[in-house]
Amino acid sequence: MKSSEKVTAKVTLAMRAEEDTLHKIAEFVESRGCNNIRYTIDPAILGGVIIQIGDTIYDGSVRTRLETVRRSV
Amino acid sequence: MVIDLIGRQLLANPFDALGLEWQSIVLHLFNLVVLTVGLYFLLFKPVKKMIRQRQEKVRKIEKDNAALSEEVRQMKESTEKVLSDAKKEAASIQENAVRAANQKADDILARARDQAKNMIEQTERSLGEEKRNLQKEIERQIADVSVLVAEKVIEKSISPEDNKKLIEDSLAEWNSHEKQ
Repeated sequence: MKSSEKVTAKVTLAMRAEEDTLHKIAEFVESRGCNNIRYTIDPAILGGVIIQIGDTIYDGSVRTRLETVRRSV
Repeated sequence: MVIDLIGRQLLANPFDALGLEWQSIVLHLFNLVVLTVGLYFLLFKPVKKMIRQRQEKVRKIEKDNAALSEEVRQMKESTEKVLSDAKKEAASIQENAVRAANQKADDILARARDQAKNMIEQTERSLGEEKRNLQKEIERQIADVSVLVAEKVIEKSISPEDNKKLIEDSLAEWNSHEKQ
């Protein structure tokens, strides 16, 4: 991957987050080679965060956790 | 007196007293012999022969009757034996038929029992599987409802602080996984 290439991370939140939280998210995606972040607010995920970098998805949403619990039951 | 006179004449010359001559007696005797011989050959022998023939015929008929009676007796015995054998065979056939019928009935009953047992087992298996499926469905529905309720509760009760903590915990977890 070239350094000039623009890599966007799609970050989905359930509600607006505080600056320090956004800063931590930015650090996380930058450490994985992203130089651009696009935020989306989706109350449907209930809480937590979903980060998509390329084909990789980091899903820490409450909805997904509940879905995991439901499937395990 | 008369009687006495007659008695004396008879004793003195009996042939004269009776008015008979010896030639006449001889002739009568001869006639008698001729008649006897003639009767013997003309009547007695044929009659005797006829009687003997009749007797032979009767003996032959009796012999034939005896042979016929023996044959009838043998035929009767043979018939009785055939009848007896036929009765025995009929009894044997009937016994075999009854035994075969009983065996067949037993086989049919055994097959029916097996089929009934299989049907019961299959029904029990089917019921058990249906019960398990129903239990799973109920559990799934309970889980769905529980998750739905949890979603509604979380949606209303989650605070920005809780959200912040959730995000930071997730980031920390992902970072720790990357390091490992």
